[in-house]
Amino acid sequence: MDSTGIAQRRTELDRIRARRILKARAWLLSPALLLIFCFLILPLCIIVVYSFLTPGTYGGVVWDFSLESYIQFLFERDFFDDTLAFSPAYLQIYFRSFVQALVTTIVCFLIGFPTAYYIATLPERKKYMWVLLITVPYWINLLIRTIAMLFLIRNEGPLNYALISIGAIDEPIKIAYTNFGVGLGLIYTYLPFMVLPLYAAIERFDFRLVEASYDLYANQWTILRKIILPLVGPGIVAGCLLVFIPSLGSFIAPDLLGGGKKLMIGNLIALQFQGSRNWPFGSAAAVILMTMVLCALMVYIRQQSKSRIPLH
Amino acid sequence: MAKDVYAVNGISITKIYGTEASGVTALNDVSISIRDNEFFTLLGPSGCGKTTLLRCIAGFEQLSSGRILLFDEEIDHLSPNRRPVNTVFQHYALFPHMTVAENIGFSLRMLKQGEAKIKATVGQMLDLVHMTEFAGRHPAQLSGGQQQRVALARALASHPKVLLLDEPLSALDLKLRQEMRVELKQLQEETGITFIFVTHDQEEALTMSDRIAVMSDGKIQQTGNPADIYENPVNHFVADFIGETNFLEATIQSVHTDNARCVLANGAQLSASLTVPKEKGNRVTICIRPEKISLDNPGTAAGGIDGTVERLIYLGTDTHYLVQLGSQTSVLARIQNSRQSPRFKPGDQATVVMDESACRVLAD
Repeated sequence: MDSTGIAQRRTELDRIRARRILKARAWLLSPALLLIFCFLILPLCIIVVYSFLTPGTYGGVVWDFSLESYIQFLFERDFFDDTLAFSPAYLQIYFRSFVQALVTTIVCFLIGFPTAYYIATLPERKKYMWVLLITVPYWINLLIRTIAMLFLIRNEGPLNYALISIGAIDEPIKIAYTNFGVGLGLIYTYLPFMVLPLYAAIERFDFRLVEASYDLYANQWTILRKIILPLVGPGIVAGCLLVFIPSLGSFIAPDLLGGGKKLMIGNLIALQFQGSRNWPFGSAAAVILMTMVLCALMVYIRQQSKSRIPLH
Repeated sequence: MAKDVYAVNGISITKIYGTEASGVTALNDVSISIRDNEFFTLLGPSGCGKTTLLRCIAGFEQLSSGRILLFDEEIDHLSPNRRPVNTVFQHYALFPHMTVAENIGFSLRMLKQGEAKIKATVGQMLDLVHMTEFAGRHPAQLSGGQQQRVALARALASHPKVLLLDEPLSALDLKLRQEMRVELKQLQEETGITFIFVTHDQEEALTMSDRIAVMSDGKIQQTGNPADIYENPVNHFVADFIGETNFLEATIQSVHTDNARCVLANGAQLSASLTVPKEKGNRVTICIRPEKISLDNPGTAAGGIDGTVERLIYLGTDTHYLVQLGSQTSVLARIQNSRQSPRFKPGDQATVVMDESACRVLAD
């Protein structure tokens, strides 16, 4: 065989080998794919299908196609003549949840950014210690943590007791079972989700760029706007999404700390599957929430890919 | 005659990191005058204070005491973004989210120049560093040498009064480094901007600079043009740091106007040029460069010192001979492998000839 023949054979061998490796790598993904299919895609399909069915008397569904759940979301059906009147009750719940999630995200950012900045600028060894410390709350069950918080902030709890005994207040401050209490719980729960991506972004940020821009006649404000924010931005967006999305549909904090008095999306959905036994409406509420989040995400991703730049 | 105006005039600059009592002194009473349109190099080992001095001029460090004048104007109170001085950083520090053109135009935008003017200047700068075809790329898509050029263009775009370069070539491989040396020198001549270049690489310093300041321990040891620094080092540090040098311990036997007769440990005598005040009987160090030493067959040269060839290293163009002169002293001689030069083997007797003008009595 001449030398070109050998070379050809070699490239062919390489190609076969590369294809085999690619195939083997696809198998690595299969357990995760199976899991996602069984416990995410399949239940999701069930939810979407259920939202178009008729509720059964004692929960469950009757297999009759109906748009009633979606109509119920926006309109109130008159009990006597079946006419539809627009009712913002459910939209209000969504709006309230949206505001709550937004406030949670903003406060988490305001607390999380300085924290992340502090950790990111620590010496290497201390950094990892602090990152580990950030995750400590997750070693304890969320329900337990939320109940613990409830005990701390309730009227007869240690916080109010301490404040009264030092004479700072006469009456206990009402925190538990208020929107403020719910917010506190949400912030406490989701703060690490803000800190970690921010930390990762700031840690990657090259602070010599600040010096370079300062040298090139930029003032502090411009440096923040033109250099720091564009480069740390993806981390900020990731942190905000990771806090905002779960806050929007959160259930435990509003239920326990809010006392379930003012309904949030999470409580509304839970209620349909428990007390109200209206599975189709619960499903519809979940589908609406999901659609809203997906739309927002898609708009964001569209924008990101438009302004995409190679950084490394 | 009017007083000389220097591009940078540093007066008794002291920089102490930490507290006055327990701090680290990075710059110890450094005074330096850098002329306009000069390629000036700060040369020294790491930790000698050269980068600190550069950062003081750029405004990133506050002086502990002393003053810096830029073309006779006080700049101590100005923050870096108000000094008409730009820096080329060791790792370039290009903005990764901006294109090459945006990077180069950054300072002009900060100075609020008009878009048309910015575009024209950026074009000129791209042309100057031969990067026109890469204007739309991002830094991550460039090689090290190309990033280097962009960093240079970015720093030069606003036409600063002084350009500071902080070991800008150290991240490049050898071949590229050698090419960039030539380019940098050309760039300095074309733009007419004063360059202050920091490096620990003596070859870089010698090949590019108009003048060099050799630094160590937060002080300037010697300032002069490359030939001056290389051939007339004032002290042991400068002689040792730049190039290869033989140090010979000797005692002064007699002092004349500009030279001294000295005795080596083995009793051999030689003359050395003397530019520092020394007296008869002083213990001194004499330095001589290996290439200034010649070797002859025994008995052929007058005034030489006899020795034994101990080792030799063959380097193609030249041969390095280590010649033993008595029990404690040996010298390294670099002999060109020309047709006429004599060849020796280890163990051969050889006469070492050291010219008086090449031998130099050091200050310390």
